[in-house]
Amino acid sequence: MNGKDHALTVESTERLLDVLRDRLNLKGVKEGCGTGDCGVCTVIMNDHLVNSCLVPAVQARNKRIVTIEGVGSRENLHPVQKALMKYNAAQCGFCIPAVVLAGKNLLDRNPAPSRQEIKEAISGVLCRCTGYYKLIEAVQEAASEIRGVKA
Amino acid sequence: MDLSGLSELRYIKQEEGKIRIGALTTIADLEGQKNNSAWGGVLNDVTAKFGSPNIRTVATVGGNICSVASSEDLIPVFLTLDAKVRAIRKSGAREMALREFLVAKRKTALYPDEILAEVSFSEPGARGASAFQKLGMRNTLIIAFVSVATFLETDETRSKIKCARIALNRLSGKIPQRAEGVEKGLLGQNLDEHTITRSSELLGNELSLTSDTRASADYRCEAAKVLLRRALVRCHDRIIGK
Repeated sequence: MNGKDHALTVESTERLLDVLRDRLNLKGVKEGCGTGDCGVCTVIMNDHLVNSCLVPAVQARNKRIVTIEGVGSRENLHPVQKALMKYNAAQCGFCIPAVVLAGKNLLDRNPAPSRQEIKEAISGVLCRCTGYYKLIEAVQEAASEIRGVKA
Repeated sequence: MDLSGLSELRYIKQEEGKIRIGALTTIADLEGQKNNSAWGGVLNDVTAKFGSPNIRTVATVGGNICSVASSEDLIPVFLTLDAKVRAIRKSGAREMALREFLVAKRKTALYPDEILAEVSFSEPGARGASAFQKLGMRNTLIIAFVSVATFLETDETRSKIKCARIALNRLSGKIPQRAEGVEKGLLGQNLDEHTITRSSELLGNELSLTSDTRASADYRCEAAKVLLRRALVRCHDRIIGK
């Protein structure tokens, strides 16, 4: 979990979402619909995006999980976080942890994504404020920053 | 009960003219097939619009088929590939046509102590191709208004249609239907613009349609015709493009 091991006994009916929020106190993981439709509870599990409301906690055994708490820090933000601020892309902010994780997960695999690839990568997260335009711009900007740093 | 640890049920195998897909294969596992293979193209069609990347990570082939809630995208595709399913339980295994496995909405032929293990189909020949088309309010995370899967195979000249299968989903709130009248009408015809247009026009005559919160019956009928045309054109292009 964000680079640390946790030993927990979970009920067979517990959702990963609840274990993260209530037992590990990772409140950056949000619950929206709770039925897999909105994606605001997105976390990265073994390098893939999942909706934590749809993952039984037992399936997280021996998996690497990254939540927003494991991405960047106040002093050292991830390029996606920085770009979202620059573009004023967060309005209510509820979906933003999920958008950051979806953007980061894309850029980890593909530092030069097309606009279409960005759209597809964040397509599992519903944002009711922005109309997505600024989110896409921000991920694009973060991609150039990452490429710049690497170059 | 959590089956996700049964990694022996997660595979895509191609052997002896058969494609075998384990029930715990995820939709993400199906992505990125060769577009020019007779079955890879249709899997790309269906995975590209399946849920969202988040859903594709965990959703499985077996889960999609066993739900039979009338919105599953893989079911019409596998119906047109004439797929078989393999069910297993402690006392043994049995195989049956997918068509027989789907009993009614939310009901499969599985016994209470049985699980779906595999979906398989014969690898289509070099002159066969499948396609899938889906229409909804947006491109991801949607339940379609209508979806259409098609399979066509031609003779050696790649002009006359030898085999045709069409399955439609989301029309009536029931399990996917085959359009057998249109399928029969396609046999022996030239695979060309005229035949495709005529099939699309005839489709309206044999659909069982209902209206619901997503779309009206009339809209579904028109959308089904357009999607059928697009799917057949895609089959044509895949057959000719080889």
